[in-house]
Amino acid sequence: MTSSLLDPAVIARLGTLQLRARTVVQGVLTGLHKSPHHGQSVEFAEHKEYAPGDEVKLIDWKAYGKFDRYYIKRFDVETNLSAYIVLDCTGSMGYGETITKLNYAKVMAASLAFLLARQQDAVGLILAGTGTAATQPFLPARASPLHLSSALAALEAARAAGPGDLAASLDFLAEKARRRTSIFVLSDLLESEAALPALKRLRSRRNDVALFHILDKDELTFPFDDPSRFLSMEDDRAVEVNPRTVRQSYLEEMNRFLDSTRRTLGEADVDYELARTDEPLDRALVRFFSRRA
Amino acid sequence: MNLSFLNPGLAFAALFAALPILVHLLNRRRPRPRPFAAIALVLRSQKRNARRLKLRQLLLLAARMAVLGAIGFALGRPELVKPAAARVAQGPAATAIVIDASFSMRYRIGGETLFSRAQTEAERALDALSPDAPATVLLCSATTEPAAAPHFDRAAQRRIITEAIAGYRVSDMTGCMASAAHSLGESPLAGKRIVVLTNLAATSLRLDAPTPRVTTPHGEVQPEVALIDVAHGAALPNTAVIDVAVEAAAAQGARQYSVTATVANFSDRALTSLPVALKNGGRVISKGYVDLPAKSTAKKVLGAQFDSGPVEGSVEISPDASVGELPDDDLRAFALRVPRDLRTLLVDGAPNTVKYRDAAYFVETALAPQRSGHAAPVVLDADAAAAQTTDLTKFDVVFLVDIPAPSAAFAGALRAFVQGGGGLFLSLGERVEPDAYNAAFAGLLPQRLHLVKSVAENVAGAAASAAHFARADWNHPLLQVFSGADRESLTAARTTRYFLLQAAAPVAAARLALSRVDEGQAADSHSNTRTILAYDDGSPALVEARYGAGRVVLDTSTVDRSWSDLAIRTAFLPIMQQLALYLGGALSERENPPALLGETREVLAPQGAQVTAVLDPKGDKLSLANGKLPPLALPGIYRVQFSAAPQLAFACGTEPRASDTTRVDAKELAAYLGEGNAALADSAQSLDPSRGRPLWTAFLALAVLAFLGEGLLMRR
Repeated sequence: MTSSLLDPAVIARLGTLQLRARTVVQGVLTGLHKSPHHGQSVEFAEHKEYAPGDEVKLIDWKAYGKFDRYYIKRFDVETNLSAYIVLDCTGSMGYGETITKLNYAKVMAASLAFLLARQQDAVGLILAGTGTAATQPFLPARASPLHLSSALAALEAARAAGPGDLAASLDFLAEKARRRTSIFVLSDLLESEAALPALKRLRSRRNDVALFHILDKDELTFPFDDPSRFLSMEDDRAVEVNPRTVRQSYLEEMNRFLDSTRRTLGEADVDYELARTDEPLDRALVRFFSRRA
Repeated sequence: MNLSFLNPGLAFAALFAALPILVHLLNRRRPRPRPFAAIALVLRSQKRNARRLKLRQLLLLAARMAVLGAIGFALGRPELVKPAAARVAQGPAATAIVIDASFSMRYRIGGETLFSRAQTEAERALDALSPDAPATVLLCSATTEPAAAPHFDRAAQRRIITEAIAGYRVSDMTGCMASAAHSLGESPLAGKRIVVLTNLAATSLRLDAPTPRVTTPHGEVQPEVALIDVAHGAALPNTAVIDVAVEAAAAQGARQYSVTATVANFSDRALTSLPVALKNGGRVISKGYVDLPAKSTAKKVLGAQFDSGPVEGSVEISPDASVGELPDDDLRAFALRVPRDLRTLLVDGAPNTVKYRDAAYFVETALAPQRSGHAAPVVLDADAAAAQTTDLTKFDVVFLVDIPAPSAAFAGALRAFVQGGGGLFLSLGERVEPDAYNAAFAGLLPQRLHLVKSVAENVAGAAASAAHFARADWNHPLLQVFSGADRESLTAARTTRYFLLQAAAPVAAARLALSRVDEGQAADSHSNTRTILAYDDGSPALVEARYGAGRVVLDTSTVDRSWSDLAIRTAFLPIMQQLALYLGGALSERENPPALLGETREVLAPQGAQVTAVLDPKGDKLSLANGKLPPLALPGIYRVQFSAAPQLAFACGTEPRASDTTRVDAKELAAYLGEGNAALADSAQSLDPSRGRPLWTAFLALAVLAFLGEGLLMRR
């Protein structure tokens, strides 16, 4: 894998989402999801000195022969992961010149799906913001290759439009998902003030929650100079302003927003990864998985 | 201070200040539409900074407008000018320049007279006028002619200013302003201005008079008045000798005089020991010191003895001690003619060892040196041989008191004596025989004696029946010393006996002049008879006649107490002294009283003489018109020269109020002229538009500051 191939501009020009996702996945290190439960497995984990209450059958008699002490053998259990990908499809995700945030997120979501499928994990999908919680596209988590194709097709068809309620989608997922499900949320969190509490609720249900915060370079640097009439991408709000006069203030607001989001999610033990649409697509995934390895 | 522009047209460039507004209005129509996801943050930023941004935008707009407006304003070359100047400098208007030429304008500040300053300022005021503004220049002196109509002959106007000289009298500046206003009515221009150059001396301004108004076809209008204070607001303290009176001090001795100087202090501080000197012929002959409270006058009497003849002196304040710089009034001249010592022969016809019974005692006492200032009279007994043979040429006046008819030789000597200019006084009495007298003094007596008339036995018991002086020629030099109550002393005198006189020719009017009229006269005695005093019944009591060059006065009663009590009346002493002076020809020599500037004085030559020249204090000849001098214009000594008589001199001084340099409060004067129409300035420099305080550099600096401010605002 070369970074040039993973440049968002190059990725954007690739034909299908599947191709784009495969390109990305090739550059991502394989990550393994290990079960937090120790049990019967072929893979030895460690020895533990016997204590009253431990099952006698787990005593390692060979170790007893060597050391004249009772040790219990412990094994890591490898399990099939159930994961959901939540993609924010509200109007604000449609922003971006070279590549929109939605397209960037779609490639990331597909890449995640590939990676999960490769591990035989079950992958589900919710396209938030494309309808009400009841009507929005929802693919339950399954591990079959056919299911992966359906998920990629759904991602391919996703369009950014109108206002949406990410929080409602997350709450909807909380009802549907089993416990200890991995949930990957890809959103800019703009116009979604209620999303953070919803994420915290998901985490409180003992799900493994990670947020990929997708933001455009313009949103992070506010590079505009000419007097502009800024238009909302989700409703009819508009404001005329000289960008030069509010740049400093805007950047302060943005930093405050990012800090607040990081702090809130950090306190709730939700993984957070900022993904700029101008950086290579695999970089955020690599950072994320490196941190979790 | 008013704002004025040297380039008014370019000042319109200040309208460029509106460009930022126009640019702002044009730009605000073209904001670029930009869909943006994080609009919530933009909205929050905009809301948070709205007030600050609005203020910043306003400051930016103001800074940009200031940059352009200040540059545009500076192009118009603005400057600050004083109100008076601004008024005068604005537009063409008929202008009258009034220059105060009163005496106080001779005051010096910094070695320069205020009048000189006024001339300079007047020329500047003239320079400041636009070429299309007609003007007239009025020199305001004590004898100001009406102002000429405004005209455009700047050379003539400038000539009036340069040739002007400050006078020695008080000018009527209020009247001059009214005259100037009147002349402005002859110009068709609507603008009317009066530029007044004065030191604001209160004596020249009458604030109770109507304010100057210009009569125009549309009615009366009040002209703009620019008062230029050539004293620049400074007080003008001054001390002056405002009067000098010279009187004989006979009690002090022969030819002793007391010179009384009135010294004035026109300053706000008291003066102590101000030295005052009496000078004669350039030499200090007496000196004194005077204390003067603020704004007050004091008299100082200085004694001096002068030689006989003409005296020209002065009283001066020491230049070192004088307050203020108006030297012309620190000195006041005086002139007098000190009469020669009268030599009197007193022939006593009834001497007595008891003094009050001596016929000549009272006359001798009255003419004593300590009273008359002259030499003591020589008293001779009429019966003594010396009286008949004495040399009369050694005397000026001969008093014959109750003597019997003299010998033909003595009578002839007397006749020759009077003919030559001597004075003869005849007093009658018991020893006088009318017929013998008429024969001995034939032609010499003013009127022939007739007989004695007795109206009462004696004076003590004759209160009701005694004769009184009922008629008197008070204009006669002998009686001019009597006035008011003094006359009562004379008319109350009682006479019990007196000689009646034979009828005489009609009295001819005597001609009184400044100088002696007796010399060289030779006329018939009867034609010159004049009754000076007469009794109730019309009988002459005192009769005068000229004889040759001399005079004869006949008293028809006695000068002792035998027939009359005049000798013990207070009127006796002055009338005897006057009589001695008059008959000795000394009385008329002292009649040269001082004059004041502006007065006209009649100059009459003595009999037989003609006025050859009248010289003013500078020595310039003055012309006479009908025997009168023109109004005296210079202070000092005037000299009148005659063809056959000694020179006559008299002093002329300034009016006391001319030295009063107290100034009018400028605000009070402005209020009098109308606050909106009058303005006070120190100099006419401000009348010149080029002399204003330039502001364009300040505006350029403002533009630079605004530009820097705009840059700072743009960076933030």
